[in-house]
Amino acid sequence: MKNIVKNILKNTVAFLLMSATIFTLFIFTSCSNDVTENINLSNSPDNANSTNDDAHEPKETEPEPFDMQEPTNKLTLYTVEMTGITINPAVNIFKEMYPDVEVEVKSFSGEEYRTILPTELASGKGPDLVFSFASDVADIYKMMSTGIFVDLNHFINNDEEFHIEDYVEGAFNGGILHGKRYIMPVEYGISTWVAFRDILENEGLFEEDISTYDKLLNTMVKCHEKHKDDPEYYVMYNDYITDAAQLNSMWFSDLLKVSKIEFIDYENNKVSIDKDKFKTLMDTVKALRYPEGETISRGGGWWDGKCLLTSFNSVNNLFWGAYGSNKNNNRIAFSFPSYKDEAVADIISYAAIPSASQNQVNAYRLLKILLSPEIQGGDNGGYSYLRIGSLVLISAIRENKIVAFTKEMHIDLTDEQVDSLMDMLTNIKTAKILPSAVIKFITDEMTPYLNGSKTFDECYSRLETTLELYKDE
Amino acid sequence: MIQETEMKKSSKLSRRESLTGFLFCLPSILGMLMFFVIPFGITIYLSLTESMGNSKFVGLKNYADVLNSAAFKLAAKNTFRFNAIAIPLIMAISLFVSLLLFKKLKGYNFFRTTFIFPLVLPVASVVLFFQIIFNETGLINNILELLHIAPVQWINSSNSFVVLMVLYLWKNTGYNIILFLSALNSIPRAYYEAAELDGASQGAKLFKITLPLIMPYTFIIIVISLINSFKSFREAFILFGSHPDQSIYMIQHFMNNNFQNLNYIRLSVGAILIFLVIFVLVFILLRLRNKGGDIEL
Repeated sequence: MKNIVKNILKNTVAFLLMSATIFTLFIFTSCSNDVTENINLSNSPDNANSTNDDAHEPKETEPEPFDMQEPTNKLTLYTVEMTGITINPAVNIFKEMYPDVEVEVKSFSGEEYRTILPTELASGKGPDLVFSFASDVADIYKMMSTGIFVDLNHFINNDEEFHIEDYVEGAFNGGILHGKRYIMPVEYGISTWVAFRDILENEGLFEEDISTYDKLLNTMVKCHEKHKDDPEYYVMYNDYITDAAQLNSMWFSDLLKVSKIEFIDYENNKVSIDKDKFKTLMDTVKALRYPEGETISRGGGWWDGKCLLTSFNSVNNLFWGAYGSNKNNNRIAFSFPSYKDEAVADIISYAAIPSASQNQVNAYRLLKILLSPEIQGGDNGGYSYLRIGSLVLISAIRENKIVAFTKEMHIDLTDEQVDSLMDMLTNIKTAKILPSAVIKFITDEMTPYLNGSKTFDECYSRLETTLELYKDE
Repeated sequence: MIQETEMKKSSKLSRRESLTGFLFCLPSILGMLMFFVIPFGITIYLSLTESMGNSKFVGLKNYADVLNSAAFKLAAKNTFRFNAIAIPLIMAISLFVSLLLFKKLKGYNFFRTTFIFPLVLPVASVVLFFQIIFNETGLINNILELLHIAPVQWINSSNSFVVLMVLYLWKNTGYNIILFLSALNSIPRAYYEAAELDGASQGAKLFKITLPLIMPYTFIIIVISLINSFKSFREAFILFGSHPDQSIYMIQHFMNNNFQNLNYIRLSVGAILIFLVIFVLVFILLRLRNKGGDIEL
């Protein structure tokens, strides 16, 4: 008997050793010269000017077989503070509709959320529904690709009451990755701006000069150069930030976001940067920079007709900014063109159901309430976010907001003006999130270029290498 | 008959002793099961499934994915390169210094304390100290500037590898020195006295007495150095961040970043591969030790 046990042990050790050796050889033979080639692949000239043209937009695929859970009497929701204006009325409606279900809403600070959510999701004991802002996790696309969230198409396809056409399609489909609808955008944002015709004319510019990504950036640089010494002149915004470092940082992050340049094509798992467009952007940011440590004296601005562009991210403000005192049809409202000159929105908040949830039916019920006309058309507290429900959004803005607002402000809007702005807000191609993890890489790697201590190519090469590693993890 | 009764008694006692022994071991066995065996089993299970939300068995697909991943290849290559350079280097330096200290040179106690000092320093302080030294406007670049030499970018460039190597050697040499010193002190003086009587040179004493007799310790020190080299990720992470220069992107970066991304499938595959590699290395070292030494530790 002892001998048999000994033999078994001996064989097990031999087997373990053999497999270990095979694995070791496998690892180290696969770590030959091709490593650097793989990592530097994107640095090759062929790839240097690669664009995203071949990157396909998210498309839905046929859902895999799915076992729909039975309804339960519990629902746990994790969310971040500040979402209350949307989530609280939705939870109240849910409680009225399903009085037997015990609802627990856990609201965290951003920092707590970033720590608690991933740990609990991974342990399988997390929430049944998450409702977050885009920046609340480092990279939502990476999370989506782990399969930690359930494909919402399983629910939507089995729900006859649900009609996708009721929503702003481009923004709605922003939650699809690899054909699966892992997250459901609930609110989205468009970068809306107003320019002044008379100011443009004074500069020898026309509406055409701000109509595309390249032209707009070029115009901004020209105006900045021309008025650099005039403390009352603003290229962007109409605020009174006087700290150069703060202003530089704001311009950098805002321009990065509004450009909608894609850095990682998550759909095809590849780094895909339009280098020329990115360089134009970085050159613009560099040209707009003020020497750090300086205090900039500000004044004037658009009140005195000294502001090239100003942003109005809330709907009310946009209408007011565009038409508030637009006596001579002087103002031009537009959405900041993306690097492809397309209308691309930001996903502001989204909801998702974790795969490990035992109360998925209740989670979907609450999700549906979040997408219902009651919530989509409800008060968003003056925030800049647009609700995703197309029809209710339009009627809400038109009836509830514009009417009330225009009356209050004595603004007489024509139907044409309203339609034009509505078109800008709802006619979008897609909606995306630029993950905060990626923003950090760009900031870290491109700062030496902006400071003038490294060339663009040096910084770009490092950025590309870092992103290659990151997307491959 | 009496013998039989005695045997039964003895067997009963032995069984009781075994049971007592087992009960004493039970907390450790449970701990081992809870914290090592079961998680290891779960790790193997996860590594063979499709995704976190889908437990479909996919065989070795995840292994193939990880092994084909450029990030994993780079991490494995760098870890191998770092260990291949760092371990021989730390062994040579620590042995050399131990031999010098073993001579009971003047200031022996001072040097011994100095070498232990990096071990007791908190990591955060060590990293701060290295930042001051290797920063773009740090101590070394200031010295280079005084010597009219162009400053070197130590952090966020391929020179990071050198910085990490210096950090590893600085932090861990002291520990190895202590171990080597205890090994050297365990060699009976009589061997050296006999060798001296036979007219043996210093070299002969070193190669014929010292090195063979400390060999079993040496293997253990190599294993400890290997483990410590994996631990140097902590410093690398604080000093260079989660995505450092390509030259020091180690296997632990790969694992840590996958943990952050919640990609536990890849993390599990990585962990099993690392386990197998370390298992093989330690096994080879132990086999070599057993073959080479009659001396028991």
